[in-house]
Amino acid sequence: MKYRTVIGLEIHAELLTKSKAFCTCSAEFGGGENTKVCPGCAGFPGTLPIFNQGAVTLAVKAGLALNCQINKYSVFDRKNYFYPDLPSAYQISQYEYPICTNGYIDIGGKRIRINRIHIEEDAGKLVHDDLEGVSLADYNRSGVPLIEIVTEPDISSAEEAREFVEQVAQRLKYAGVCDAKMEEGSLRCDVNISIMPYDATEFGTRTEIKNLNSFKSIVRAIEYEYQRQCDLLESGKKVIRQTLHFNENHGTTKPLRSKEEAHDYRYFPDADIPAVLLTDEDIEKIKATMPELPDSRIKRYTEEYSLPFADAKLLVSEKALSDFYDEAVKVYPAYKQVSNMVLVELLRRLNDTGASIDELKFTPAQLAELVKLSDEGTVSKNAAKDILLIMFEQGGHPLDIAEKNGFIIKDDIELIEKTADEILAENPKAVAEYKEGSQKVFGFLMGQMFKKIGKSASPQTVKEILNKKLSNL
Amino acid sequence: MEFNNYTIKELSSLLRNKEISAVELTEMYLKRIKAKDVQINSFITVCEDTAREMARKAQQAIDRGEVGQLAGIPVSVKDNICTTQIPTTCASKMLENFVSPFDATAVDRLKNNYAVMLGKTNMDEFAIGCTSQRSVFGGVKNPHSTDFSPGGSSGGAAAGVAAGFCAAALGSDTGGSVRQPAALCGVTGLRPTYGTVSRYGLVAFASSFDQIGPIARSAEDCGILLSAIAGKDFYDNTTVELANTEYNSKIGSSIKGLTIGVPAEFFGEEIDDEVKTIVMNAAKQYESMGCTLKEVSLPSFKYALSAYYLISSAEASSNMGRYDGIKFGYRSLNGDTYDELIKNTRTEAFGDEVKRRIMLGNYVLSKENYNALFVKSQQVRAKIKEDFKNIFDTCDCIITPTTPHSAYKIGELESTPVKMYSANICTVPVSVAGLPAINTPCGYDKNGMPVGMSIVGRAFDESTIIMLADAFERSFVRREPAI
Amino acid sequence: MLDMNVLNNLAELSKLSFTEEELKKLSRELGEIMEFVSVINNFNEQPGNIQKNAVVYSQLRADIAMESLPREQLLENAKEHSDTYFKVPKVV
Ligand SMILES: [Mg+2]
Ligand SMILES: [Zn+2]
Repeated sequence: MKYRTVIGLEIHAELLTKSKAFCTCSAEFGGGENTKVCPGCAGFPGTLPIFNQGAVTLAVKAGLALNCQINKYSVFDRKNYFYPDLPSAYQISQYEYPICTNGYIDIGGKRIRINRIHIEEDAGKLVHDDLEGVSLADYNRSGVPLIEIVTEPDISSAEEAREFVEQVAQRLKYAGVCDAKMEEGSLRCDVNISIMPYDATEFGTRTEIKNLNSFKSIVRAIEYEYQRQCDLLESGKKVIRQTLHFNENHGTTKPLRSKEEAHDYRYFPDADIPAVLLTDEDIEKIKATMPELPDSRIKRYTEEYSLPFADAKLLVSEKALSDFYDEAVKVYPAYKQVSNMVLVELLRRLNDTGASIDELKFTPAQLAELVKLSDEGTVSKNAAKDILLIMFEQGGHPLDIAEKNGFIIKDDIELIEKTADEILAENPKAVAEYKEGSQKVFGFLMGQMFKKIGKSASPQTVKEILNKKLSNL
Repeated sequence: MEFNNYTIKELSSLLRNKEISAVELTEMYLKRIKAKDVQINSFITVCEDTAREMARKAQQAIDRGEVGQLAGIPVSVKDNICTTQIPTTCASKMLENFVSPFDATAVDRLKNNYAVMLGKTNMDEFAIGCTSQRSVFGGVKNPHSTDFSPGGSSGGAAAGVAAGFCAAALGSDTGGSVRQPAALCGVTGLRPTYGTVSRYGLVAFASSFDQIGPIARSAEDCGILLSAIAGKDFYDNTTVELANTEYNSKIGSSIKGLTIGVPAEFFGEEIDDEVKTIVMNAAKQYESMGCTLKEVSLPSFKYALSAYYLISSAEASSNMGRYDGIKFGYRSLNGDTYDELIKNTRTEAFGDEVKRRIMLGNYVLSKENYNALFVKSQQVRAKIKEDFKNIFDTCDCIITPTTPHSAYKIGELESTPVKMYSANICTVPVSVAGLPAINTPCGYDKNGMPVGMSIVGRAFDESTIIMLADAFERSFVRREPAI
Repeated sequence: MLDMNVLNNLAELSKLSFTEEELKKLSRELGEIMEFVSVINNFNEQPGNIQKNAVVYSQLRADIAMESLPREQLLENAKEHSDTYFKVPKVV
């Protein structure tokens, strides 16, 4: 590869406010067309933006989650352009004085700098009716608050871009800023991409790919566009600065509009909205509500709890999961064992059923209790799995479930010996095979034992007795 | 008996004493509008039925005895202030049939005070202009002589009050649109400090200047209206929490010892000699009432008009973007694509002056000009505020002429935009600084047309300028137009 | 006089159409206005913090959702609409 890729991202994240940014309509996703619209977000004459404190708080949280400087003075501007999804013909955004600047996140040891985060409003939605040759406008999303996260051109591959967006999405979810559901459009990404020879000192001409809405598209679009630009340069042509649309079906990019120069957004301060003034105390107050972020949790899990890195990463993949784990180890700090129960057994149940952590019928403390019962030998490891399944389906306290189902290990020697005699008598063929040296059948016989006595016997004891009986034969 | 020349204060006492009912009073005014407004064209919509309904409700409230001075008082509302059920046209083809789904906060507050809205008044299209001739419903005439313009853009409001079609009116003032027509029609008009009256429901022209203001037959009446509509509003983030909204509280207090600034720049060569003399004589009358006149200076005066036209046009160009024929208002019958449709809609429905300001505003905001024009104007604006602040370090208020000339003949000002823009030379600096000012008539020119003076106050100190205007009005005899 | 290219671009930004005649008139008028306002070029002072002077600070509203406008009322003023949508010609 002769050329290196230079990538900068603009990530739009919808804020999880209850109401819209500049009016009191609900910001919730969904609902009938034009049912979450008022004169304000439909751009009616005489309306004014009434700014939502919630948007400020969440934008500051985003800034804190992405290591930004929080600006105590920020201003709203109007970005003027005509489009039927933009009812007032201007988008309220921040231009000269954004709320956050100079952030970064580190991915795989490399620092990706964030230039700025600013607050702006979303536009409505257009549905195209090809039959009638018209477009239909729905303003439910019009005025929903967004943040736009703009990086420096520090990203140099599709994989790095994906990793960065994933990290941003995860942090925003942790901070409760955005639910980051790319498929619902609550997180969208524009990619600015150019290529340059490795020995060059000047950036190449960049193109901008708009509105990528899945991690897969980000990777595919970048890879395609890299190749396209390489081909252009190789064949002696030039890259034209333009805005592109990525076609998911064909996996190709197409120009959106060509007259980029004709666009002059005529930004200027919006006199209807007061400047946002933040004090140190305001920022401290918001900081105090920030949860511990994933990288710090991974550090804690690997360094303090000695969990393998892969396990730690899996635990923090979802905040609710990590929170659940943290609650559980507070009750019973057997880090590795609790982690195993959560990552293997619990995750399996969740994946099988598609349920989420919040819907669990039992508490982290109860899960911790279960691990403890198993560790202390009160129930067998196998029984613990069965207990978890019951807790998962019906809820309840692990000890109660163990008792009710006869899972408590009692090790009734007399019963075990009697059962062993019965089993050996019933399976002469297996016994014969064992005598001939087959270890495999030992497992079969153990299984037969547990079928009869259930889970009240510990595998240790059963194994011992069975061994003794077999060698006595 | 006719009450058309009565003030709110006088009418209110008649209503309270049951000498007349609110319904009778409303009928009386409606009758006069019907008979005489053909000469003036001050109303776009007269809402007889809703007015009668409001009058009935007002009378019930008066009978219950739980109401203030506005109960039952017939008022008009400028047609760029939103009202439910009754169209809000902004005197434009664009909004000819537009009915707002909500009442402006100021209208809402008038209704809560049981004022009776007779109708919506004529104006320059979208409040852009100073002659009230740029209306799709035809121009407004000055009641003192119908050859003359009433000023604007709240020309219908001022002419309506002067002609006795309503006791008081709500206008709007961006660069002088309340004060200038009040001056030219010989009535009292007040521009409140920016942030005093909610702009919710006032169709935006230039957002950082627009204020709703009262026009009435006396300073005291302006105070009554202002007291009803002022104050913090949830729906307008630029409104300010006010400690006191009893604007007539100082009326009748002694004005002895107050210092009145007379800024030399407002009496320069652009100002007509007759106007200068009349306003200076009025100022001297304050001297005889015990005030001190002090010559002061507003060095940034010469930049004010430029800064105002550049910023206000920039804001207007953006505010006018929402008129595309899609959600409300006029929609062209031609245009197969979105782009064609909105171009045709806007081209067909906006008047020349509105188009000119949109073009000018977009020029100002263009990348190439933004710093030299817009940012520079903002710097000028800050300087003008500073200059006023300096004057108020030593003065309690400022007196200026309201207009450089008395009323112009209809059509006279329209010859060139620059000439027209200069008609606001005395009112614009105050708008740029966001300060309050009240116009009160202080004399008549050789043609018998009214001349007004402006008393400019400190920010949020409307009660002082109301007190001062009232003190002058007590000995000034107004001429009623012979209509 | 304002350059015709500039004017055409402004008309496009403004979404307004003009005849040749109108454009010539506008060119002259805007030219006069620009000459008139050119006095601000003489202004060279740097007053205090402009932005902070230009805005009024107010308490922001709490994040509470309230009722929207009933859809029929929202669509009432639109010249063309379906039961649920505003209608727009195709965007090209
Ligand atoms: Mg943006
Ligand atoms: Zn809304």
